[in-house]
Amino acid sequence: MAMDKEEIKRLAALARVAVTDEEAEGYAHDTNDILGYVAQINEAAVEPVGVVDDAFVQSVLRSDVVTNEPGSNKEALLASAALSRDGFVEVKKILGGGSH
Amino acid sequence: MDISSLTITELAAKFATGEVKVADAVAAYRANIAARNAELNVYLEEFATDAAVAAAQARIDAGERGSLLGIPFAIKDNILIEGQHSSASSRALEGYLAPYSSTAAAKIIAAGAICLGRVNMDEFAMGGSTENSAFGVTRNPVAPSRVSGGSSGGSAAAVAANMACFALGSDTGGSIRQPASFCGAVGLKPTYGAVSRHGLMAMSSSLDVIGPITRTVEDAQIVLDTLAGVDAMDATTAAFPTENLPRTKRIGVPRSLLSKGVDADVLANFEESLAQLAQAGYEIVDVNLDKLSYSLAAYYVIMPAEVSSNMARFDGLRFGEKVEGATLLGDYLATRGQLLGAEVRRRIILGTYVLSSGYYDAYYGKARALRDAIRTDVLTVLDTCDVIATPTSPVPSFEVGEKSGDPLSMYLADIFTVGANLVGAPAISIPSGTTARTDSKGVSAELPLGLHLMARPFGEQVLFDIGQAFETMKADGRR
Repeated sequence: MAMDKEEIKRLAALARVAVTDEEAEGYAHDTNDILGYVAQINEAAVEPVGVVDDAFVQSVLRSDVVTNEPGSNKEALLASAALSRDGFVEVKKILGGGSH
Repeated sequence: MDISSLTITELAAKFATGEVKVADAVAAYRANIAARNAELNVYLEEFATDAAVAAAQARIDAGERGSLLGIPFAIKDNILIEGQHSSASSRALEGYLAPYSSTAAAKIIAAGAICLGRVNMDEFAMGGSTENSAFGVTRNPVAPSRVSGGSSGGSAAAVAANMACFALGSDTGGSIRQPASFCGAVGLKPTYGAVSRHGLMAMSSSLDVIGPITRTVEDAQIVLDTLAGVDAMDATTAAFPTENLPRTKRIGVPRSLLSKGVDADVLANFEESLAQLAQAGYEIVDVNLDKLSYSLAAYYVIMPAEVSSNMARFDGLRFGEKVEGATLLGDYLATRGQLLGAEVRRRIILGTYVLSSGYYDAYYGKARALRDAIRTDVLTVLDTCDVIATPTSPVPSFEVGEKSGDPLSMYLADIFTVGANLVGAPAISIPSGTTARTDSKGVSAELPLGLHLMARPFGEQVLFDIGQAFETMKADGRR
């Protein structure tokens, strides 16, 4: 399927990325180029599978214990946030009135 | 003696005898940075302190000997050092201060190495030329009209321009090896899981790895020795097996991959490298790796899929810069739309597409299955060969702007390097000579080329042994 400007804008909205009309035009062109190249995965004689279990790389879980003092790095991490209040990241309100 | 061109081994020996002080070395790199950084755009910020220099010197004076003690290095802008800025060369992270250190940087610094500063890269490591940096391209020290490669272009250029003794980079599809090749340095992509990624900004988590760019193979081994190890903060890390892998003294060459799209001079240089390896006692054999030719196609599904997921964290709320919208959704759209660069957004959109309902099986599912098939093929070949050899890049360094308008043509430069990431195997790029080229302004330069060797997972020692033999042959040839 050829990708068009509207499809790019739909995907961009899903990914929470604003794109202008002009950018969407350019991305549609680039994406068609890339998908055209990527289509060769269909030539390879490999049956598609669902989620593949990675037999080679294994995740090793550490034991489920708290390794730091509760709240010990809270301030340092919150310092990176655009807005914070009372130990929480502050965002605009999504329900009801008011702005925060 | 030019202190700034010494290897890690040479510099450490001079520190040990007292012939060179740590401050002398730092001053030598700083002089080169002062002389050429405006032209080349390698360092985004310098942050070596007198206190760090004095502390390393004190340890040396007290009789301590360490392979990296006092050695100045550069760090890619996506690897965190506590209290320092780290931006992944993105406007989205301008002003971001790392609240903790990456395991990789912490280990290197604990060994006494001195971080001179952070260096340029393609934004969030997405690109092959550093042209995607929000802070401008890093030019190739050997031929400044050309790119330094990418995404670890600043790291490679720092070593090539004698602005650091070594550098750390990250490699998702070739981002250590390709710039090392373009700039004439050694670039090592370690085995997936050999080095902790804790504190590395994630791009594609099933592919990303941290590794060194150095002047020699021996130096790469020295840095890896310090970087490697199991880390509770990265569950994918694993220890090197203690037993030695059996050696065959055979080098596999996937001829079918070289039949098209490879520059004639690159190919001629590669044949010359193979002849030298044969002289060094290695048997060169043709190997059938047809599925490996699909590795770039599989990569450009798997990587953007993981990018679209990993980049979701850059929402403008928890870290980095924010652009105000009218609503919370407006904040997300504006922040990500305005502060993430064109290539980053392109990959997020592509990844969102290949993972979307209706296309998942056709793209992601198939690419994952293909990845397993490629891995099986490569590991089978590596049962009978010590390494698989190719050129590192099908072309030498290109001119700034030459490919930036055509993403697909830029992607094709990764054709020989992405396989190692899909397999999780270690691979190294070693300088293999140069080719003379004239740019569009009529300026001629000798452009570096690289030999690419891939070994089985945790087979780094094989790469180092063959790599050092190759380096010796090259050095003898020059004498």
